Amino acid sequence: MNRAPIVSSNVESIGYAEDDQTLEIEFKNGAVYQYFDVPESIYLALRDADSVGGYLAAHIKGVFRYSRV
Amino acid sequence: MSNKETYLGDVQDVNGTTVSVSLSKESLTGFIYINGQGYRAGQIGSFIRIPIGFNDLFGVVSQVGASSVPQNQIENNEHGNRWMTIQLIGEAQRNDSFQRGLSQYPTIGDEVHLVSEKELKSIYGRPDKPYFVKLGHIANADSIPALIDINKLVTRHSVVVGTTGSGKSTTVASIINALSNAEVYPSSRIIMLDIHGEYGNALRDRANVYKINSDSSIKLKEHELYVPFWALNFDELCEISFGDFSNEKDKNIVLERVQKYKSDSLASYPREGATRDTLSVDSPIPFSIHRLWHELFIETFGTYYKGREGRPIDNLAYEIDSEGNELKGNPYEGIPPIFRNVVTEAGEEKINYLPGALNLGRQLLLLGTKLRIPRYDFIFKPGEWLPAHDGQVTKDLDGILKNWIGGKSIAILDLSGVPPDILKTTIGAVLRVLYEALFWARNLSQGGRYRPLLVVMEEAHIYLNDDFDGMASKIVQRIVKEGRKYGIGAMIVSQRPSEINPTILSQCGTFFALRLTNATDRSHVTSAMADSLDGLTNMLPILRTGEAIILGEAVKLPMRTLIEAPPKNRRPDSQDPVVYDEVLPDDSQNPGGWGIKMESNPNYGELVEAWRAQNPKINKIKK
Repeated sequence: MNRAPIVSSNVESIGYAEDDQTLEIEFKNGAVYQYFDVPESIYLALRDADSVGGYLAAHIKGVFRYSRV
Repeated sequence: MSNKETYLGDVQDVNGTTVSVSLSKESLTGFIYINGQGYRAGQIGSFIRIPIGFNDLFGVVSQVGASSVPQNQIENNEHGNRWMTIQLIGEAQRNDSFQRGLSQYPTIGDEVHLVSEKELKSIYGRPDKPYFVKLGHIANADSIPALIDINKLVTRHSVVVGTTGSGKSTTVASIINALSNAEVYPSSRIIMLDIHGEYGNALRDRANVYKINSDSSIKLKEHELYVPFWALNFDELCEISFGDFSNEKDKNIVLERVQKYKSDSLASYPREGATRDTLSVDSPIPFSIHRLWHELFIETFGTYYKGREGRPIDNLAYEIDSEGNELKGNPYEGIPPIFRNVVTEAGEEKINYLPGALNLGRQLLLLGTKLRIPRYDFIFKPGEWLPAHDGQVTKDLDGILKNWIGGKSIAILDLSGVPPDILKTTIGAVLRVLYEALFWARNLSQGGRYRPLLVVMEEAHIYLNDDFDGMASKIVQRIVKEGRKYGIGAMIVSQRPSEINPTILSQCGTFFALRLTNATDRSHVTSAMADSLDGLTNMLPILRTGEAIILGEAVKLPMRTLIEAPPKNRRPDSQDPVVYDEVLPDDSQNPGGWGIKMESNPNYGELVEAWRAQNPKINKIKK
């Protein structure tokens, strides 16, 4: 999956696949995770959030299941 | 001497390499300034220097205080408890490089001096030489790099030990990272036995990963791991396929049959180097184990029509299925033939067991099972190395060797999918194949003498823990005893050194000892170390994470080193899980832990999927 760099204190880049609603997140430490079944609206909101780390903590972590890639 | 400020005390007692020193009154404060830098006198593990004429002797402080007072001095306590015990380790000509070992001993009254950072540098450091790699820096002296001589590291074998979580994997990754630097070592050759599949990610760009059920996608580019059964010697083959034999006679029957198959195969497909005369049952010549199994199965369980003309073997009494076909079985799928039961009643066609039937029932049933179970395919159906019924193969052994030791600098054999019952034997077989190949090719440019191989054995206590019996122990013993001459070096990594065969440990020249708390493990390591350095090894339980004591052949002096972790993307997957992240949720780079609420609808189906597939990457993951 292609990821685009993003400005954040803890997230390096994010990517999204519409067809199966998978959100991919690369943290600054190099670890890459895929969150499954994430609606596109959440991805867009994350991309445009003022604080990516804050949005991630509030609306994605603990809501969607994920796997390390 | 002009360096009065470094003066610590005088030699009072010499007993072998142990020297007792009485500290002078001046050094009593314990704090000495040299070139503006402060040093604490008499730190355990610190170095001292004893100048003798044009030579300097060097030693390590191993004990300070009351118990260092020599027995006969306890009475007339002239120096009180201001005593220090020192272990001598080497000497240096004035202004020349340091050598291990001593040509002379100090005598009573010789001065003992502190070793300043500048002097330490001249002992430890020759960073410009390309045969030294830097692993970090000396603890307590940030400016001095910790350098390892790779000549000695590879040929004299090494051990990395430490409690789980002490930084073992990071140390190994750091060493491998340094050794696989293609700019300095374009032909380095390292093979890693990775039991848990930890290193594949970390070394992806420098390594070829071989794995059972590999993922050959463009991103991962893993290759399938094959260990063709016909490359094994007879003992290994028996252990992997037949299990134990109840007596020598049965074993000999199989041995002769294997020999015959190999000999026939060689007759049909001559192979350079192998002749009928030199062929042995251990020779790596392809033959069809499926056909062998099928044939032996018939001879063990077969029945035949007694009354018919010809040899019994030509009149086998196969069971007939509903469509009238004889159930002859299928050697390649491991499906055995089914025979009719014995018939002795008068009036019916008599069916009897084959005369002289073999007594290999248990062994053949076991092998049949293994031929059917896909988990064993990496041995019995090794892709292009699977021999046809007459021994024809698409690819010969050179393909396997080229894959393992002829490609990139590092080959990682990910053994996480090998069934546990044959793990030891598989590892033994892999190592033996490599050893034999490099041993016999010792005069060739790709042989061991001209392109040495470093074998890194992760979690060695799992397969080197027996007393000489296991295949892996046997071959590793051979490697550590004789590998030096043929360019095969071992690096043994373990968290439980006391479970490793002591012969193997004692042959290893270099020790990377990380934190070790267990007393049994510690004494095992201490007894295997070449240097008698109580002071240093006593520090093992209190080392910090990532701090190692390196001693032995690859280093000039024993050194306490802070290992520099490799870059973030080159670290093995063995970090501690985060139970509760220490940073705030908004800044956390961790998606889980006990502090974050879990998803409302967890999917345990995927958990089972990963387990069933024996692959941590589930199908849902987008490539």
